[in-house]
Amino acid sequence: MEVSAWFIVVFVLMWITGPLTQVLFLITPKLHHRLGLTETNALKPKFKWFLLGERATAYADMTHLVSGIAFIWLALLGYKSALIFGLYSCACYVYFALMVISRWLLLTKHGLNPAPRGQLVVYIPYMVLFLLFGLYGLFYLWGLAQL
Amino acid sequence: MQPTLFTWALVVFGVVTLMPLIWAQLSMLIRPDSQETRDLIIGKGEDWRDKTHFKLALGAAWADWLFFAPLFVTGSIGVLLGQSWGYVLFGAAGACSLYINIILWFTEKEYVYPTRGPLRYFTYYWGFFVYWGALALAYSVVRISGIEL
Repeated sequence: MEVSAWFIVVFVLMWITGPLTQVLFLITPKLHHRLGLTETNALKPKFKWFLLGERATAYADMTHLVSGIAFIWLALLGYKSALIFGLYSCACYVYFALMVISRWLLLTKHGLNPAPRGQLVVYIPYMVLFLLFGLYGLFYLWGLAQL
Repeated sequence: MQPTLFTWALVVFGVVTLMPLIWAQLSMLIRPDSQETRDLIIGKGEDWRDKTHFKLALGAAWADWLFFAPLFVTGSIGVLLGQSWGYVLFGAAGACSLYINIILWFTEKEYVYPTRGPLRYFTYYWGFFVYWGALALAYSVVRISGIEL
């Protein structure tokens, strides 16, 4: 089984900007926040539950940090079992992006979003990118599964 | 890639585990503020931890109905038809179930576990979703790798 080099390159880029940044969040949340990767007001006490949700998501993202490594390694070796690890990451990207975009929109609508509008202008397209790549990835891997 | 007894067992386990969730999430989308929805989603007599908890739960309901439920239904049909794409979608549904329940372990366990106890928590309240997700994903790997089980 041969996975396209372009797909692997984009997959690695998504992996770096996604689950890898979550490692930073778990290890040094303040640095993650200072770099603008956490919602501006998320560290305020009134967003305690929101931050708990963010931390929980970061722990869950460690699964696709690992599945991403497994996918790249197995895909480079040409094993078909690579598909399922790519699939895991892509399915999580789509699910996570849908969940997060819905949440941001709902929180903004009710004035509860810890991210100001200026930050959302960057965050939402960033999540849309994960959504589109995840959908494309599922479609692409589906195609490979049928070979 | 014809379905085996194990395939059928996993699909039935998935239906039994996920149907109540899909029903509860539909209630969340239709009547998000009702007590019935709160009873279904966070437990009888419970209330949202705060306003962000409620919105986050509503976001998850949208993700379940837009992506997870269609993935599970089409994946199940696909595996029962013996199609390789079915295993891809079935595995993806398993991935979502596993992923969201890791999040719930960190956010909800301290509230749900003490009131429900270990037996209910590690079965139909939380455990079955993790077991089914892991099994569906692992089974898809096995079948896509060409091993019949």
